Amino acid sequence: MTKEIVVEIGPEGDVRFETRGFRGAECEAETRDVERALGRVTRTQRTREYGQRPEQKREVKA
Amino acid sequence: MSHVSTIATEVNDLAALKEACSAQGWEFREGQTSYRWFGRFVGDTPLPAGARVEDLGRCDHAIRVPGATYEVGIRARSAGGYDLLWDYFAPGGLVGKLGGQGAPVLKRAYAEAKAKRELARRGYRQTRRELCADGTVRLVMVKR
Repeated sequence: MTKEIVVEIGPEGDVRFETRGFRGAECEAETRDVERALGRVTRTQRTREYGQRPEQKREVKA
Repeated sequence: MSHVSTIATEVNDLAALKEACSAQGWEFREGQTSYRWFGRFVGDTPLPAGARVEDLGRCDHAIRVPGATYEVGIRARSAGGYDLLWDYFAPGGLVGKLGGQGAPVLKRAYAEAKAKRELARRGYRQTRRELCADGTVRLVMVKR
């Protein structure tokens, strides 16, 4: 699944981040430093995919 | 979607601010220690947070906007980050160029430059940029 970050810069200069294609808490880990670098986080809302487990790689022996 | 965050933009990156000025066609004057303003505090508006009257007109860098007489002063805060100081007295020409007293044009340009820099550093590239009817800029960034 392609990982996307949609950045919306509002008319007054506030920024909204929307992550897509992430599972579990990896979305927040991915953007945490970016959000803090931009300014003060005023609101965070988790979505349905947040509750899903991140993809885990499995090694399959032939 | 996974999560949605809202951020109040704060200017803390001079390189991003320079990029924003370039994108807008403004001149970033590094090391300029004074900015043009009315020249006298008349007390009709509050001073910027942490500023004293004797600080007005002084800065560490400045931005010159074509078509405006006044300039934007950029002053480093002791705790990090920068204050943007400018006189929005209409005859100075800045308030119209910056989109109002909150300088939204400058804040938007800075936020866009900063977001792109930070995400590029983390392996993202821009695949789409849209300008919405209300002035919102939407960037779609995809991990390489």
